[in-house]
Amino acid sequence: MKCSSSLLFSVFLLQITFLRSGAQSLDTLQLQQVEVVASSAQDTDNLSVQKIDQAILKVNKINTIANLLQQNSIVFIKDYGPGSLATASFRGTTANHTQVLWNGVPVNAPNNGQVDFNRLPVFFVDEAQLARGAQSASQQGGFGGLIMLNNQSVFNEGFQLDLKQAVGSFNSLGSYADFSWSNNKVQLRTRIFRTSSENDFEYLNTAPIPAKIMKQQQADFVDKGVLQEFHWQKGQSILSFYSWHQWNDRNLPPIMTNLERGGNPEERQDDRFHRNILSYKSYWPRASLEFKAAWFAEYQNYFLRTTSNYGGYETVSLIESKNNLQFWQQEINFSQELGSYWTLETSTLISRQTAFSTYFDSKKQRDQLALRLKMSYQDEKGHLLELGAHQDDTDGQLMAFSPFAHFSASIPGADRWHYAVGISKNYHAPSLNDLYWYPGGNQNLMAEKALQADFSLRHEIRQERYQIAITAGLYASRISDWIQWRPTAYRYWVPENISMVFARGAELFLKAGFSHGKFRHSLQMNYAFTRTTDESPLAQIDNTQGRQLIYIPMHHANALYQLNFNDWQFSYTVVYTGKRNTSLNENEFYGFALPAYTLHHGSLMKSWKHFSASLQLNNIFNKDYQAIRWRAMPGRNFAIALSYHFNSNH
Amino acid sequence: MKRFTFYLLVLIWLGTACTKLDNDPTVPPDFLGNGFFVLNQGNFTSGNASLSFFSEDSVKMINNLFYKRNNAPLGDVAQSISFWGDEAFIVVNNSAYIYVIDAHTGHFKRKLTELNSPRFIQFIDTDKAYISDFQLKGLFVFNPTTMQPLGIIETGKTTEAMVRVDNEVFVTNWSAYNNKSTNSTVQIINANLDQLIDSIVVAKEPNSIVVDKNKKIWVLCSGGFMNDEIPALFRIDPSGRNIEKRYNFPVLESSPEQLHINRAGDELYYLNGDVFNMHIDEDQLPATPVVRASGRNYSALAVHPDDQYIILSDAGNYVQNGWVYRFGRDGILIDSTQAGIIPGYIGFNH
Repeated sequence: MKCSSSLLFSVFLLQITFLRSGAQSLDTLQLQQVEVVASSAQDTDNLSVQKIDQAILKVNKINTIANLLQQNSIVFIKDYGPGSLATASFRGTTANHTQVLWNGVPVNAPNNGQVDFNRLPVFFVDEAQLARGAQSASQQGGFGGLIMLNNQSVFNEGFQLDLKQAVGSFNSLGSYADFSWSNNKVQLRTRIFRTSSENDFEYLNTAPIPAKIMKQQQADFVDKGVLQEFHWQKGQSILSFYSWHQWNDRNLPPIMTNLERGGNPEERQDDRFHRNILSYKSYWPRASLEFKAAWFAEYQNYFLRTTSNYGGYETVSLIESKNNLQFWQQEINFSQELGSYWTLETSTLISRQTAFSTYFDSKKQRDQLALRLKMSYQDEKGHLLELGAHQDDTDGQLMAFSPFAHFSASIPGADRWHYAVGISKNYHAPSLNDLYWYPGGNQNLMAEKALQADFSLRHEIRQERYQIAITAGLYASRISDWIQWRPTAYRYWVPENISMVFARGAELFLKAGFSHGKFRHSLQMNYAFTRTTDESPLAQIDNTQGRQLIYIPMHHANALYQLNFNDWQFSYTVVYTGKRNTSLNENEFYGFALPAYTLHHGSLMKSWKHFSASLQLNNIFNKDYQAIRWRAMPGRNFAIALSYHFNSNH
Repeated sequence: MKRFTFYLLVLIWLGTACTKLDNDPTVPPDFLGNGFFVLNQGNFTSGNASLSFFSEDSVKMINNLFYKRNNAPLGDVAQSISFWGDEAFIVVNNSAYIYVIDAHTGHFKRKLTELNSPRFIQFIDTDKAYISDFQLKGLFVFNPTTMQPLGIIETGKTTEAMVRVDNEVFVTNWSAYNNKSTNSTVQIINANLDQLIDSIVVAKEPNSIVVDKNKKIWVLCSGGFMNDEIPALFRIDPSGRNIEKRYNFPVLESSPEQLHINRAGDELYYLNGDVFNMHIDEDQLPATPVVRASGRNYSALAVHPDDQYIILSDAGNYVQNGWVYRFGRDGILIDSTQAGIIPGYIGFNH
């Protein structure tokens, strides 16, 4: 421990020394806020990072991040139903392998390593990006990729007010308010929201005999949140404070086979989180330095109570489990240009996770010290080379050295063709549940390790009236020591490093824009082909080698068409989710796989001077489907939103 | 624009060129004949429990029988199957209902719903049966002919495996769920009065119970899932309600379960990793298994009613179909076949 920590600390000191020598020449800093409203094929992505267009964020303001990603990216959302849990995964990995960063700080819960995207409102996000392949290897655990959700500072905008009220099917309500004031030095911004729904939609339940139309039960929820931002720029520096608080209360609906349980089951989950980030960043003409401190607290309360219709039993079963999770992190980030083409970026961070849980025998803690280094080369011909690595020390144990390399360029003689190659190694530490869950937690677990390679090719067509950018990519990941929970002879499950998973696939992205007269059309399509199989010796014994892992669709695609005309905007989205295995059985039977389904959604928005109104129609063709086995999903439903926007500068 | 259209068409084709799911096409025969049902638990909260039937006539396993017959899933975590006349009563634990099917065809007949966490059924007569419960501190009483609830026998402890001797039902208290008292008793119910009349303390987690030809009761205790106590097998005299004999297992970290007895009532079988067999007159637990686990994770055990063979199920990795093995009484494998996910209970229809 001492050796590895000393090594990392020495590099940290070197970083400071380097900073002093590099930060010699100062100049006036120009901080500018640029809002990109893409309605054409003007592609703001690089080959490994997908940025969700501002226009798409705008029409999704009353939705959750789960809806946003499901309809506009290759991310697969495992959705347990409206208001219930929704996790994200891509490139054939699991939700644990998707790292989610809010303003650069990971928000994955320390106990289970996941994020519930149905709890995150698009309203609180100014920028959403997805990093894949080598670009995601700068963060431990991001085998599938990174989802980056950011807030942006805006100065000199005076007073702004944005109010939204949404009403939808199943007694759904959403109220949103955004207050912002800024001059050339200070910005204050407060966003608050409250959403709720009875979620009592009707659906065809094929579980009982005979099948019947039923109403969803116990699926109501209330989410409330506030996001406070403060930004102060002085000279070449900016001080920012972000404070995000949410209170999420929801009932947990039973699955469709369990609707005739006795004892009036009452099952709910109440979550609260408080996330605070303080950052101070200084810029020089060729360098920047950032100090960042984050403190997060999360409380998860699960409650289950049943009674009996007979006898004197007030309570037959009672579970009240509580998780109290704390996370703090401090980091220093430094960037220095070296010569005309090279840039050095370093980052040193220390973090601590603590967890109290009903299912842990005592308070658990994990400390991490991490160093990240990146050298990039970029010339005027568009060649980009990035070489980097991160080395972490967790609880005194030096984790796997994790390097990455990424190169992108145009094909010589064909400047409309671009390609990128990347290779990386990364690791993913076991979650605290994997280590300490009682009973079964395994403190001898090793970190999962991944070796990844990818290749992308993009072609752009730009004509006077239309533009197309199409990107195709291939990737392969070999993940060893994959953690899998297995049953034991004692009838409880224990996690073990047993699987060797091979994830590979192809991705296709298209952005197109076309305009004539006052009409502007845009089309965006995402498609992912994913093969993920367990190639371990145990899988060979189990005869499951080569079979697609559970709940990873082989095909997943979505397409968004948008039409803008004067103050009107029309959107139409098609989301295709391929067949998902629900067991590793070879033969196809209703119990072993869920069939593919396609959903259609549409929206229409009209803007006036300070007002706008929108209508969203979801699942237009009233498709009866299950995203997760026996979890009811709603048919056709709608939401209407009215917005008022005021800007004192306009 | 032509190229734009071309890309569009290629993408639409890629998005739709996927296989469509078909159901298992195998059609079971109208009359099942003699054989045994395998109840596949399925995964908790996945609703993928299923019913298999092994035909002794055709020596073939029919999987997903319930779905094929009734076009509906069996439910969430199938627990046990019991027989009364020509009907089979399937207890589906996490769906909290009981489905009654025709034991010779598999056709659904009726159901009892709104239970708590049902485990096993003990029939008293055509008008009365008891249901044990993992959570409820008592037995649920119902009429198996009409499926009408008749009330609850309060026991103060959760209830599990049951046997009937004359007019008394002996119930094990296996689950400590929501219990303050230790889960180490066998409780005695008077089946005339539907009342708790006595209890006998055994060892922790009595998981299974049988009655032998001499009307002696045998109770197997695992000692607790965290290996709190030495596991033990008990012989109880039901008339005196006292423990006649205790057989301690030699290893604390063992977890014996699935105690069964042959139809003659003189040979005991149980699982302790391997499969062991002992005569009821033995003074010691057997040291040598009759069937070795050989890397398998046996989860259910049954003995052919006529002592012809032993049946074992292996849940495998719990996310794919498990296996059912038939062994001769000499421990030699006869054959094996695939069942459903987590085959956890076996019951003969003859």
